[in-house]
Amino acid sequence: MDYVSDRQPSIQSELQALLPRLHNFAAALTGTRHASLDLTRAVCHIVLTRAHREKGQTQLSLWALTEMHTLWMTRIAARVKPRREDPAEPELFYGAFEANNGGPATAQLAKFIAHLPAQQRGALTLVYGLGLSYDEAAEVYGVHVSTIMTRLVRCHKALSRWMEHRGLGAAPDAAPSIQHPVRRVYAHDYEEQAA
Amino acid sequence: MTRLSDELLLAYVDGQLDRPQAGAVAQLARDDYDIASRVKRLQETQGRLMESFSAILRTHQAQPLNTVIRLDDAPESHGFFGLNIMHIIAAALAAILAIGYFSMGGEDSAPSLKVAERLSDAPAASTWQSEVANLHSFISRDTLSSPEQGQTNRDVIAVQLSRFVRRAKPVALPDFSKHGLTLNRGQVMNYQGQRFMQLAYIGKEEQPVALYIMAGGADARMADLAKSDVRTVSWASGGVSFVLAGFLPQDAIRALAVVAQNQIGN
Repeated sequence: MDYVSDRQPSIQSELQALLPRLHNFAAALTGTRHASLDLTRAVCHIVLTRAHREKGQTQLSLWALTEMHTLWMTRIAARVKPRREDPAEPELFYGAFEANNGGPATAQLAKFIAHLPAQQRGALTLVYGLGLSYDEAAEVYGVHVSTIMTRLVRCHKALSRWMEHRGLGAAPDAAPSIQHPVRRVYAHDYEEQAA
Repeated sequence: MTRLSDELLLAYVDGQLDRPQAGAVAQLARDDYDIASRVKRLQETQGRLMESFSAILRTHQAQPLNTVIRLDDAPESHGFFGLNIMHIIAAALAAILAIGYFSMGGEDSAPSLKVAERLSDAPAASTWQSEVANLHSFISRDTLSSPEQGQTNRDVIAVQLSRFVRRAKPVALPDFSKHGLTLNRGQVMNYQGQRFMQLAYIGKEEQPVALYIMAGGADARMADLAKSDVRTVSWASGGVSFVLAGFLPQDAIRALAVVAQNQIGN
């Protein structure tokens, strides 16, 4: 595939198609609609002005997502007083309600996602929302793959606790559907006795 | 009981392991109750997360973003005040020539030649290859010992390298083990907005040797360059530029460059 710099004429249409994905990641990072639109707009500007000299990437989406993360980090670093992250707007994650048919217990899922740290929310979005591989997500964040894996595991553990608390998931000690040797031996013994 | 990390199990559940690794984990999950239980819980949370995040993406796709973010507002061309950089360079050169022409007395003299001579006498702009040699002079064994910097996973480095040399499949990393050097790390760096990759090799005692790879550049034969104690060999092939740099004699660097050239296959 050609590098981004070699596809200058089609960049605008490619970017147009990418907008929802970019905005999705921006929402995960910033947590507010206003800031996510602002970040998406700024990244579109960067992509359109720098595409002619981008020689390191063949995938526009990966490059744009990487630029978005870099810009977001730069803006955080530029804040006069480092402060705690503002809570995210759960409305941005209302899609989660629809996915679970708006059930009473799952109505809290959007809040759960909104309360995750931005970096974890972003990693979840990249992997489960945008379908990136761990390697690609690590490239976007500029970190080792192991860092992405750790972030994802933390999210899974937090969600597992959240589900258990609401009686939505299997209890940790419930019998798994995958058969294990002990169960197979018991079944075998039972058949022998019955015969 | 086999103890597997949550990270490995999650990579298995998310389908991120290659086939032999996934097969091994699946076998362990069949044989070990604890692992099976942990896999099942991860599958449950994975299902809910995938459902939720794909639904969130669908809601973003349904929004009329085109009206909020107008790509037409962004400058269509790049460069200063929307001018193409080549136009700026051409205008600057024309201005220099015109100034030179008129200051030398117009058509009666031959100012163009003198301007051209002056331009040729000016020091050549530093190239990426010479900058890399400068960069390499700052690298030592100590700087490579920091595990926080760069990628040490050979598979990930191979994938990154394949992107730089425009191959769909991972590229075999140059192997200098027969020459006493092993791959220490791969790192993506920036030079004036363009990315390049550094593959650093280290021996038992020697200072590091590194192969620098950047996309672009017309095909060029091997050329030697020395900057202080750093010796380099640069070449370009198949639209990719390479520089091999190290604190070794020029012949040794050239021999390693031949090895790298053959192994990468460009």
